[in-house]
Amino acid sequence: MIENSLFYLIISFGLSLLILVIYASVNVTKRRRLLKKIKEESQLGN
Amino acid sequence: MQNIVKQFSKKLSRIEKGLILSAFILVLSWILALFFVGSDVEQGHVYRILYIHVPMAWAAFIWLFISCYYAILSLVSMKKSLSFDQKSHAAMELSVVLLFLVLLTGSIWGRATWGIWWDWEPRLTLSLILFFMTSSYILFRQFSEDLSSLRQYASILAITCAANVPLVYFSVNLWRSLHQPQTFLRSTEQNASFDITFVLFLCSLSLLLASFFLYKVILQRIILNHAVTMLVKGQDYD
Repeated sequence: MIENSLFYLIISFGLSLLILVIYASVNVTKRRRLLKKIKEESQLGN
Repeated sequence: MQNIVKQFSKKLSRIEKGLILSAFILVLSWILALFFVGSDVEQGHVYRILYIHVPMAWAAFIWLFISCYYAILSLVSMKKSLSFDQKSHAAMELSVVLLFLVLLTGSIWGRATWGIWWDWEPRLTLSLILFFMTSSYILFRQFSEDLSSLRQYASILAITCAANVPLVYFSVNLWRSLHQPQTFLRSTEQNASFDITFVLFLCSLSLLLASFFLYKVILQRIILNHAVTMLVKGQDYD
């Protein structure tokens, strides 16, 4: 039996989830900033 | 322009809901893997890392092939070259993230089972090289100034990356390797059973990645539309 196996398991699950969440957050933030920028520019144009 | 943005905005909101749903099912499958699936006699809890590592490796290779497919279409098609190129880029980005996760989870599993974080054996080394190649695609697209030939060079790079996948996959058969043979193709009684947790994880991961892909493609279209609008108005685009 490998020692600390539960520790390694939780670390790998946790890090994988964290990285996926970070990737999703970056994209969602990018989209929100972009749409906000477009909206501001169109309001300035009007 | 406003109508296009509104239309894309609605699509993105729907995809975001799909992302949340698939993330929820993914976490549910992880909970099942953690608490309801029995431990291995030799490896204990650590073998459950294979529930993440193996599907992510498959997904990384599949998205690389998808990127290669769209790259070929981008080179061949005159009309829809830009659209195919955007899809190729989005797919490649996904495979970079997945390859990173495969190397990370594999390293943790290796530490637990082999006692080492890394070994310069064929499968691991070729996987690392593939990760560097796919990362170079992303960096190339980000920092290339020659926009006229960017699509062509990027497509060729995508095809080259995908050509390495069979080498990585069959490296355990071609050379003497520390890494175990393919998880589901071995004919020994050590084959992992195709239980419901694995299938659930695979399905939820596929849904999550497909949502990410659509999200990226639509985001790229908004950026492109915005850039074109700014250029037409004679303004600089950041």
